[in-house]
Amino acid sequence: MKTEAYMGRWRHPGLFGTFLLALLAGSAAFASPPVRIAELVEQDDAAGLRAVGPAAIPEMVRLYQAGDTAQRTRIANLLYQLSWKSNEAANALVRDVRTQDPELRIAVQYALGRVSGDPNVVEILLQNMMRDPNPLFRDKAACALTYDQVHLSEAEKVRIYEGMIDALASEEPQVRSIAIQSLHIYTGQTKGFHPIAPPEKRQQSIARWKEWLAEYKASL
Amino acid sequence: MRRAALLLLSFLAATPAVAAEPSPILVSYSFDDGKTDTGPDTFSVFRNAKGNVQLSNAFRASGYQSVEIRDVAGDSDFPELQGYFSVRRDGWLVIHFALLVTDPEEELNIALAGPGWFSLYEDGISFWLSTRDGHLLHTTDSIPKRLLRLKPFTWYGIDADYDIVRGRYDLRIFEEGIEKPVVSLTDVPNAGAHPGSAVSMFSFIGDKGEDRSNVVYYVDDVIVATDRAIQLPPFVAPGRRQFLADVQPSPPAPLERQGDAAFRKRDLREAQRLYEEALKTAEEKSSLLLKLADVAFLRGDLASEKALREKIYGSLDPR
Repeated sequence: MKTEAYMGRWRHPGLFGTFLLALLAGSAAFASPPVRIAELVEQDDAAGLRAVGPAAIPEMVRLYQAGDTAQRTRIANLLYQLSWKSNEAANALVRDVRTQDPELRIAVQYALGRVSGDPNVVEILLQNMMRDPNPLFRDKAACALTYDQVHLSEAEKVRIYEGMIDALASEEPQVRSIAIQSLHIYTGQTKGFHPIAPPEKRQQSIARWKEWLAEYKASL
Repeated sequence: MRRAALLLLSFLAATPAVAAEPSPILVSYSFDDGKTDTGPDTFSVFRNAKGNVQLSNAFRASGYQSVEIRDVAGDSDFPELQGYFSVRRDGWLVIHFALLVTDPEEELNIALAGPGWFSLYEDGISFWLSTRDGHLLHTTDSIPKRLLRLKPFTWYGIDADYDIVRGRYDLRIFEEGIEKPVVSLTDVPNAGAHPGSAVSMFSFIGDKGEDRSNVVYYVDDVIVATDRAIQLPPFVAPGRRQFLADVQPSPPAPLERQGDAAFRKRDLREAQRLYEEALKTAEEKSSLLLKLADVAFLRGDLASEKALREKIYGSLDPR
């Protein structure tokens, strides 16, 4: 799992604001027929799609649904880069959130948070993180929950914290490990939790995390 | 908390300290005294995209000027006033500044951080104020908590006493026209609940890079002080207490290394020639630009010094 600070530096590349995107979309939609979108997708041209704006999404979704695994992976990666909130895109992507193809699975897990603020996406990713038989998929689901839930409010992020704190009690050491890494990245703290500490020590830390969560909720 | 008030009273009573003499003051910017040179030992100004940071006489808590920070949503960047002081790993730190917002609904972030930069990790952010939904919040134990509902066009005085070793602070906020503090908190954990978290910089920004803020706010009377007098080296040139070539280990690039050697011998013409030659192929230009600014200063070319330095650290001058 990536370990850089979630804020990294105070200054980091920003996302396009939705207002600007809406302006771009309004003017570009008519100038970008489906064939143009298909070309941009084929060329993996995120900058070109960004210039078109969210008006490109319906055609991208159509191409995604009609495409093979490679095409779906490419479009998922493009949607990740564009970070445009879209239920249509989320609905298409979520059908592949348990695919066994590693590249497509990881691309979809990463992209979902970038296109959706739907709490169901958080639930699905938490399930993948805690219960998927493949440790790679579990790890990447934790990454997606930690870095890519860009459309969630502070209140909506509570569910992520709850899920991560629940995962600290997992029987699977790797799940405990990725859960505490995620909490550390979000909060800068571990509250003394170590994934391979004796169970009673872990329980003490989990109790501290639960107290913290209660205080977090009370502050919303 | 009384510690802050007593120290501030003594600061206000004192004349500005001679830089070479021991003083509890690490940072003091009233923005009225002409001491607004950017640099590695003062502050940087980032005016990227449509946002801006500049001196303003539209509003001021004292004197006749403050600093205006203006962010613009959707312009792919954010403005920032980022200040520096020598790293503090123990003792108390006293922080004071005045803040006025024009629209409390717009996001801003103000932080005191350490060498770990602006994260919640140890040595990262210790003190963090932000706005959300019209409220001023502080982040303590990694939890953003509401402090008060902000009024527009109203000055607030922020006073924090930070016990670095314990990683806890007292906070008082005064509202213009009200004698008693409108916020008074004691012994709260720092932003990431890290005892001993070092501090060395402060920052005033709009949003944190999400590009959604249209905030316009004003900052005045920034003071950061310690609980004991320390001896800071005097400024050798605007915004810096040491010439870069005198302190930085020689880099691997031969031309720059040769330039440093020439600079240390104060062969300024040769140092300039070597730095300019190195600049043609350097990927990282900042240190070379500052070294050229050092050369320009020592040669008495103050206009070139300012232009070179401000390429790196920006300027508070109106643009």
